[in-house]
Amino acid sequence: MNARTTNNSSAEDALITIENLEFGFSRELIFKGMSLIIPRGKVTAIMGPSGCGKSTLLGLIGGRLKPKRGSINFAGRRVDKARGKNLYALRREMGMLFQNSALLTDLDTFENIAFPLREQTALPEEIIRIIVKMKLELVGLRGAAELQPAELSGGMARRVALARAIALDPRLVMYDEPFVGLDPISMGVIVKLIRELNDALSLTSVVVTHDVQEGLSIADYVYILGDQNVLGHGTASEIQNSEDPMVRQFIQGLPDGPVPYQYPANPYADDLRHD
Amino acid sequence: MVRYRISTRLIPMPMIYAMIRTIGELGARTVGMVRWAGKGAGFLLPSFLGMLAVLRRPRLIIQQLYSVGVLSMVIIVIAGFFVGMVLGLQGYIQLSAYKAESALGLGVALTLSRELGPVVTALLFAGRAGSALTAEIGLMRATEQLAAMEMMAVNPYERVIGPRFWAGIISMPLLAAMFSVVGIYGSWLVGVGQFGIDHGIFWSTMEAGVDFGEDILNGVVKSAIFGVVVTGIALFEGYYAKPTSEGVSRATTRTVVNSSLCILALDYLLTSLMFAGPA
Repeated sequence: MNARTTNNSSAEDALITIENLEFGFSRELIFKGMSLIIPRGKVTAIMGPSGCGKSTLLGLIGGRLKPKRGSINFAGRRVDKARGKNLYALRREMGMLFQNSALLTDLDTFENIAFPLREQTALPEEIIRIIVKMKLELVGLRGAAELQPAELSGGMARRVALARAIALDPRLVMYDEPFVGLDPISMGVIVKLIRELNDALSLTSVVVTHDVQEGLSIADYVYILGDQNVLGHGTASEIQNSEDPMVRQFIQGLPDGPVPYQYPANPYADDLRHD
Repeated sequence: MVRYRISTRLIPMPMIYAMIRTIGELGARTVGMVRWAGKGAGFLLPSFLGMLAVLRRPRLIIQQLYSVGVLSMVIIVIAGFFVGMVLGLQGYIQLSAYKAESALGLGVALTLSRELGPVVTALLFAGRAGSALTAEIGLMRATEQLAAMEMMAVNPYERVIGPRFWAGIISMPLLAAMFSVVGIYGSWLVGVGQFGIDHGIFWSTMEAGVDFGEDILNGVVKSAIFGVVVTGIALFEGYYAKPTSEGVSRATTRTVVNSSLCILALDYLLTSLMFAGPA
């Protein structure tokens, strides 16, 4: 199957449609007139240099940030217009894995995963216990149910957070830099989990990362962000063979190129001469 | 047409720049203060709604009552005992000069229930529980726990802020009452035990002179108000703390300083409203 045709076909196969997005924390814009489509059932990687707004994009999709202009559609509903109860109803269909796992430090592993179930459902204790055990088994940590968050390694904490993110069986899971700060084994585990969970639970996954190798290896479809917009998109091989100089610089990790090595400054000689 | 011009010969340019900068800074500070007040109002409304919502889940409030109230008991009891002993000692020295040491019990009881109980308890509470609340919530913000809750469709105002607010408001009057009771026993120990005031007189002047509505109830109202103020400031500072170690440390300091100042200023206001009203 060709992801590009999926992407171009229509909004039918899109879980998220972003159109003409404009956003900035201050007067300076992070996104300007950006449009992109997250295909349903696929793993989509959002890549780009630090500070290009990758994590901000997840905030916008989750409705934690509101765009200045444009629309964000999630399964046919406008996230950017939703407020209060409607927004919470949308979020119940989303799971999110935060960069530093964001486990609740006053609860143990079991209770962390039970947390969304206890908050959102009126399930009896026995059912909650079974669901939590199942989610823990999915990430291979059924034996760690009694551990406190402080006792977990970075990789384990991320897996617990992942189990928590899928506790309510969402349609979408968003990963914010899931590969940062992991040893090679934990990295392999997370890569495997993202793929397997996506296919086994028929999720849609959005992986935000600046890790080119892992990002390209895992993704069905790739967006490269930068310069307030989408620099390039396509399947992993399309991106790798891209002719676009900015995409090439990012993929190949060249220190200098269209994205300059130097932060904008006065001429060097002038700077040394003055006081 | 007359044109006014600042002569750069009379006022040098750097001075003009400095003036402009000063005016600008003044404006920025004013805007900052207004923004802060707006933020505070924007925090109080959802907090209040969160407090109403959490009433359906008393277990969350009870958990917080333990960490906010019960864990503050030790410091309150010890402080109350020593404050009472000092009151007994100083009170006895002054009163005995007029041969009025029999009024010690009454004097101590009034001082504690009307003023020192609520005020000192609130100050200690700000240092013990307020700072802890700010640091806890500030770190929850810094480690994205609050954002994670929002993404799990859990309202942090209901789950985090509401129960803590209730715990602060409920435990403050109880702690203040405890402080006063222990303080009275401290002064009893000094007055009756050390200086030999008659045991019966010590208690009976108190019984006759302390009015439940006028003294005890006003003290309870006062400390409940202090509970709202201290807990509110602590939660607000934590919620809006910069998500860095420096930001959390600054927010914690601000909680203790601001709530202490608020307590002392409010105490004067409340005292003049409660006890100096039209006779």
